[in-house]
Amino acid sequence: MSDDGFATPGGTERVTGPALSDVTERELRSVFDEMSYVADDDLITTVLLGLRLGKPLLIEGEPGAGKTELAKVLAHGFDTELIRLQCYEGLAAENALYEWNYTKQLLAVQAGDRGVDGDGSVFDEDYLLERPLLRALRSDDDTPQVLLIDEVDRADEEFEALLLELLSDFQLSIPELGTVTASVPPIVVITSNRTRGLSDALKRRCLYVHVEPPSFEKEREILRRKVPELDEATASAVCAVTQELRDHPLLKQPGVAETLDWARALVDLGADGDDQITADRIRSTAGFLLKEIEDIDRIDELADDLTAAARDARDSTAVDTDQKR
Amino acid sequence: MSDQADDGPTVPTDERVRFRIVEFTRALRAADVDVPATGSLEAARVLAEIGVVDRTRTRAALRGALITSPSDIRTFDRLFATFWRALIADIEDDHGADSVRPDERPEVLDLPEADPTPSADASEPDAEIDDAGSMLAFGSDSDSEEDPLLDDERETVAGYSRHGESSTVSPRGALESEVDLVDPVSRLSDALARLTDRGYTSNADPTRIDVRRALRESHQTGGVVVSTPTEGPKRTASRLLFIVDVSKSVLDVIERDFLVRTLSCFQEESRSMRTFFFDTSAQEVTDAIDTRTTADAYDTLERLEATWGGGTQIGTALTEIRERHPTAVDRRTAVVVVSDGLETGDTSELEAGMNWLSRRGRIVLWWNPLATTSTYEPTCRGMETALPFVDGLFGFADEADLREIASQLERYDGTQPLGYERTASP
Repeated sequence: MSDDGFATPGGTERVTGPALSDVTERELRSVFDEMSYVADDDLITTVLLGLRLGKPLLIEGEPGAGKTELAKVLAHGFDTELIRLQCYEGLAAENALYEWNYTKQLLAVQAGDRGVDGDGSVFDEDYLLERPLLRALRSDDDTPQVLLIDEVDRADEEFEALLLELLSDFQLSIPELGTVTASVPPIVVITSNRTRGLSDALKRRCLYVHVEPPSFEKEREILRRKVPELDEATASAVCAVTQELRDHPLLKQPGVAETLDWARALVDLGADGDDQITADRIRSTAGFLLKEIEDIDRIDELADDLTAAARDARDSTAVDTDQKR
Repeated sequence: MSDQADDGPTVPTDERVRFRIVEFTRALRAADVDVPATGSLEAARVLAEIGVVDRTRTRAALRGALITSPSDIRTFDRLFATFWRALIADIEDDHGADSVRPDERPEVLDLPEADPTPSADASEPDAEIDDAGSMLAFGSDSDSEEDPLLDDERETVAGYSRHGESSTVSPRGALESEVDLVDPVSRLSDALARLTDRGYTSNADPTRIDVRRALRESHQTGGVVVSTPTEGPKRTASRLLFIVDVSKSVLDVIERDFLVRTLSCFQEESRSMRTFFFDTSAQEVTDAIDTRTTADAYDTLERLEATWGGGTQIGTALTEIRERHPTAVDRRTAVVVVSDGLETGDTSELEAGMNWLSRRGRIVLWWNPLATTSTYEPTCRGMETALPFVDGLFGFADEADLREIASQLERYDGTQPLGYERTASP
């Protein structure tokens, strides 16, 4: 019986990492603060539950919403290793789980050092190449590692089936060796851009989070932390422009990542508190915010709205600043 | 630790909570939400982990366990409101049926598996328990001779929480939340004070060309426009009128502590503010809110015998305000109605009342605790009736909502639409 009072159907104890199963909300908030990761209460609650219950987190949302960043923040914040598996079409088991070192095996057999079956065969750990999923299970650390399975929707549906055993029991069956069970289960973060639906079997093994684009206030806070060299008024204007863009039916809405890129670009271009974000500047840097040519072609028609939004936000911030003084 | 696990999956939750969870997942499935087969079990697990003391956390936890598609979030939120009301009613009923005095009540519900408090510092009061205290203190019997808020002795509070170890909290301490309301309220007050009037004047910051004046002046030059005078919105001093629904349906979804603290903060920030509470009738509580501390506000409210938790008759309440306090609203007044719009009275009376507010007031905002997501639809008859007279309908359940309202009002120039649906939910 595990400490959390649950028994899994097969009688296998659900084990959570010794260091994170009792993490408190305060500690998690502290980690996010230290890593300058702005998370809302819903996300914090769900991540907290994922850590305490040892459940994988399935995070969906638009590209650039901070899904991958969450895994990085957890790894850095809890001072543990991040193991990343980037998914792509055609991703196979040998790229994700493990692979036999066939060259080494062949040489060993030819040299007569090892046989192909029985004791002393070439099918043992000396000839095993760990791939990300197996490596995450065989960690010797006391603190669980963070396993990031990034953009799982890019992989084939068959690949999801490979994940099921790992996600439910944190174990992996290798026919020639047996079952590898994690002594310290990793923190699993799975991200998806929703380019296709995921299987029910995968989803029900995870706690689900859908990350929405941030509000104006939240995005400004992100900018304040991530691009501190940008002054308050310009940061407000930047956020106002991206918020305005999100109100328009674009092929690809700018995410937080695009906002950060654009803000850094403006800093490089010397934007400071006295500079307005003009239509020309928006046009010349639109590539940081918009990633589809059809969207960039619309920048002229949107320019007035965008500059007005930037001006209003800047004025509003200036008034706030004056009042604070 | 329980030995029940030998028989298979077990979840150490109170029976009532377990029943409500199963009922909730059934309702979700009936509404075509794609709930995983193990949804009820996972929901029970997450609730056992975080407890049922905070609506926002409970909603987030259940979302994570029961939802697998963003398209289902809207339905989830709608049904969650019902689930939460039923759950809290169960917990309150449990204490209402209890014949013992409030200070003798059991600390928590049946919690055989309760974990130690997750607080890093055991010496600090547990915020979760504080929240539960503030929530359930109002849920206790109103006819109890000993008001827990006025009792000098430290009061134990009841709440369902896996981490809900028995502890005592000060009722007044429970009112002092860590959430900072001063900043958003200050911003909101400033935004309302700066809010443009419905008229324009040439003495203000120019925002558009004054066509009428340009034409008038062109008469002097033979019809040729030689200058383009500009005009800007009027800026007038701020007066606030809060009309707050304290019916049971609203108090089920909004923290009383948050509500009173918000009003107190507004009172501090505003030059002139009047506050009315209503359920089936209206009562002015301006003096109660205008106190130095939130605890004082509660004390004064108690002395006024302000009533909480009845039904909702907004129209009747507005009629009473209009007849008894006709000067409560004028052209300089920003009116804020806090209500879920679940009108049980005559909608024609509501329509007349809203018409009066809209006609007399500078701006009419409706803060609805149910409109906390962009997917909310104001389709109940009360909201449908009131909406044509409302300048902006916003969600209002926590500090983030106040910030969102402030954010929109700060950018508001009188032309663009306002409202919860323009909120970019985090």
